Amino acid sequence: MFEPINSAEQTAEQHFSKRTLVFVAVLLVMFLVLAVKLFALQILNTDVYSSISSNNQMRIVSQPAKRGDIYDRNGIMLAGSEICYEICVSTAASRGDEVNTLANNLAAYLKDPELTAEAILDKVKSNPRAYQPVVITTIEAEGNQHLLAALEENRDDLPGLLIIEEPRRVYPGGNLASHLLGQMGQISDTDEELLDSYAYLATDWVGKAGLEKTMERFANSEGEEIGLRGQRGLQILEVNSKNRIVRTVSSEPSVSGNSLVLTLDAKVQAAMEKSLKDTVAKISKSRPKAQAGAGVLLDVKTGAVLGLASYPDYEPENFIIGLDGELSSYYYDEKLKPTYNRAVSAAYPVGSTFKVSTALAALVSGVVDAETEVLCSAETWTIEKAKCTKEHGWVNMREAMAVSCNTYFQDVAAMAGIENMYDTFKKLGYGQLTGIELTGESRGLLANPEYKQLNFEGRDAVWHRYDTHYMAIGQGYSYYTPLQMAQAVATIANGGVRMQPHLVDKIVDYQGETVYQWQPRVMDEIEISDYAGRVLRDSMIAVTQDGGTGYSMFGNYPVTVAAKTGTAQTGLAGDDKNKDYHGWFIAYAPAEDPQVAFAGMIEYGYHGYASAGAVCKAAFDAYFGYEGLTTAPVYSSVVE
Amino acid sequence: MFDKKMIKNVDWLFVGLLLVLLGTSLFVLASASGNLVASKPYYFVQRQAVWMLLGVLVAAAVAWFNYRDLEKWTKPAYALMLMLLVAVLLVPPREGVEAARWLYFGSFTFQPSELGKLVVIVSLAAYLARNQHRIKDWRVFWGAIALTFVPMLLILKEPDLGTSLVFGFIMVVMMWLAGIPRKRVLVLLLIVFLLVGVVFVDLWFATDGFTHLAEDLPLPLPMRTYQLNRLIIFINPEMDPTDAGYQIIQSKVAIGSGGLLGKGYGEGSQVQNNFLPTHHTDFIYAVVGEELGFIGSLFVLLLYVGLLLRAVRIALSAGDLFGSLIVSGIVAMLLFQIYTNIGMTIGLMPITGITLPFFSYGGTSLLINMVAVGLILSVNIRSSVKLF
Repeated sequence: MFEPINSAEQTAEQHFSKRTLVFVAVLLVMFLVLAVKLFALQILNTDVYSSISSNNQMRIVSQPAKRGDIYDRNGIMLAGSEICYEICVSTAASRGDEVNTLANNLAAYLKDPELTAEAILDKVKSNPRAYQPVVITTIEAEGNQHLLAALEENRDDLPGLLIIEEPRRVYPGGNLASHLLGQMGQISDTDEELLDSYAYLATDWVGKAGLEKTMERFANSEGEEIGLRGQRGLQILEVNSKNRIVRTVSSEPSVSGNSLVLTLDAKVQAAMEKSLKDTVAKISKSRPKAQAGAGVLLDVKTGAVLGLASYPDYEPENFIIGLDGELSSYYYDEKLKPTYNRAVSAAYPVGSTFKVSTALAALVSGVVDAETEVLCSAETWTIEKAKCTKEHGWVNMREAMAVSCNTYFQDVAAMAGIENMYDTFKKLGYGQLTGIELTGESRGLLANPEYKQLNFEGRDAVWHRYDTHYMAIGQGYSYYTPLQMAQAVATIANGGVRMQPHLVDKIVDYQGETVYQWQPRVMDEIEISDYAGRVLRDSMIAVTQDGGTGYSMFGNYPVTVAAKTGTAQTGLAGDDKNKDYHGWFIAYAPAEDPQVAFAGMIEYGYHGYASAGAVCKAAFDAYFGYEGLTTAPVYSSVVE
Repeated sequence: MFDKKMIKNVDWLFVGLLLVLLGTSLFVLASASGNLVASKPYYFVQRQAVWMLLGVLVAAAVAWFNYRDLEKWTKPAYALMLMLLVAVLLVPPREGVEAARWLYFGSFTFQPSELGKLVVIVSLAAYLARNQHRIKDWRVFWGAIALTFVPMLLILKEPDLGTSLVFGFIMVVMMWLAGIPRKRVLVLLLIVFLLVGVVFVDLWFATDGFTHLAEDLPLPLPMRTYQLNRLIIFINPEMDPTDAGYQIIQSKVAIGSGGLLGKGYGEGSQVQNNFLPTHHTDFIYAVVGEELGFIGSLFVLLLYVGLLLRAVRIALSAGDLFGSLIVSGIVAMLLFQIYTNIGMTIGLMPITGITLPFFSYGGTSLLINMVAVGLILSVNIRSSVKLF
């Protein structure tokens, strides 16, 4: 096909044809080299490559690690994992008629009315990524051993079948402690850091909220990861062209994640959740706006969370299985927000329950003692003060606390001054993160003159006398979370020592060895004299005695309860100032030797004693073991 | 302008070989891509067939166009190419893409370096033909070097070592055929071999005789880590069989296991079970090797040899040196790409992104190659039409 052209006359063209011969020689040599190498591969060494091809094909199998469990303080499982098997078909390994055989045989083994041969075929054929196996169904290990064994034995009839072990998260308690446990979800763009820096796979499930998220990768003081997630195992297998395993090349077993033992008492938690639900149901009959609430029970000596409930709640498992339309519109309801943990994420005006803190600040600053009296009458209700519902006359701290007199607390706050007050409130933990192991914690708002200066202009930037007054009764620029309130009560009960609220008591590995133990942490300390402590305690006890606002709930309770009720203006646009109040209740018990502290609220619950007070009682009943006792409420003429 | 004689001049053997090659590629692609889109086994074949039809039309249009008129377009075309190559470096690469080789127009991507090859060929041909009376001047030698090196260095910067080497090969071949003094071309080749030698000796020291990937080079090289790794893996693919060496090993296993007659069309286990990645684009020759065996592989090689030799014949019978050089440059371009691609699949050459001309799936490169075919035919049909 190639012949030299003789017609060239010009020297350039002669040059050209001579040199072309050299070029053609190079070209032919290059092709010859390719041909020789092909000969070497395909003719001389074909046996070597054929055996490699037919026998030694590598498969990399990644084994998910078992996620750590979560237990309450008594070993009751709140979150665990059950082993499931994903029945998959590798489309790459099964083609043409083989797929039909596979679908028919697999349908016969599974005996699932919904998974007919056609349904399986549909799933295989609609697989958008041919390289990845299609998941046909997920079956639980328990009760399915025979099926799994049958599938394993009859692999030859099921070309392309893959069985992948996949642990699935389960929450045996249903809705129990949902806001604490949080949610799991498939890894997404928001978890970029996990994908980039921590070798997560794009198909992994990760904690999205609550402990599932915060303890996903918990690091101890040495920087070792001791959280819930374990480490994936990796197996490199050699399989032949029929997908049968020839040998295991290398195997790195998965490492199970560590389990959490919480400070939480499941019994207390369940009682609080039930009471929240019942109370909301009861109140919402007459006050339709009352739809939500929260409560926290702390161990006053250690800061351990014994119960932390928020209503409405959710079932964490729903997020694993998937939300249908109805559930999804419920969970993502803008107003109800069932996934929102009101106990730590929502900051509210706390109303009269704050008077306990004001009393402490006044006592600590030394401007009042037990005998100091303030006149509550129409003459002393100046325009700069919030009025009382009736004239209380001359009242001391004990009397003022029992009837929740606004005038008394506004006056003593003014006497102590904003700086002294702010100092004590800050030490009680208001307006600061507690650092609890939960997601979405709110800082709340504790204001002082500096805050107004920074955030407002003109006249509004000045701290006025009425700002001090409103702050003293838990209104104005005061927004605190139920957890912060519980922390403040616990601090008062604990003689002024503020312990950090926490949920995780210890972390144990899969063999039960403790790898981490929480050590109680002192966050701050207020110097409270014995006298001041006694005065404050007596005033709070007066609340639950005859003539106090909490008498109807704790009037004849087996242990003495020190408490305070609160009915807080919501401060929200659109709310009726005379009708829409949040109901608050704080308490600690036993008053003589405090063990636990409670703070709780019902949104639009109005009276604190009848709303959050009921939740408190349920929590105390469960904690002290009084569930069987019927402590009927007593009649009280006093309301706050 | 158009002459009936021109039809008579068409090298029908060249055209025929090309059509057989294109047909064979579709046949192989059907097997190679059948398992990629589960419900549509002919998805890639249909798309490639459309590109081919378009390519044939483009080739015919280019052939009808007189290549001699190209001379006056070389300067603006060359300038435009440089602008595009600079633009490519300025456009940030899309996520997940390591090199800046593409320009994006919505969903359409375009590699200016592909078009750049043809622009450089035509520019070099025009330059060398214009200077043929003083071809021995050093100025001409350096001029040709400059013409090639500016775009070549820009492409090297992307980085795209493979494509920039195509430019070097084209330049050496065209210089040689244009009559640049023998010694100068040989010295140029010597320098290239020395450079390659230095790189490999450098790597030999850095990897203790190619036993592991390089960390620190005794002599730092202006190359990315993955480029160096490809070279190291090329020498010793067994070092990292599951990762870096995977493609080379799987490709050799595919071709080697094909034997004399192959495993049968659509029956290659390496390909059909997806052990060999990118088997419908870069590694399509491995499909030929595995399924059609030594006979099939050789057949495709012979098609290429025949096609290129016919093109050389067209170059020899061209009406002027400009035409001859255009065709020779294109032959050099195709030869280098065929050699590096097939060489890569059988372990003779390191892995580069160079595709197999007229064979690998991909519309842009096919269109560019069909423009090249059009240029060859344009020279071909005007060979004995003496216009001067």
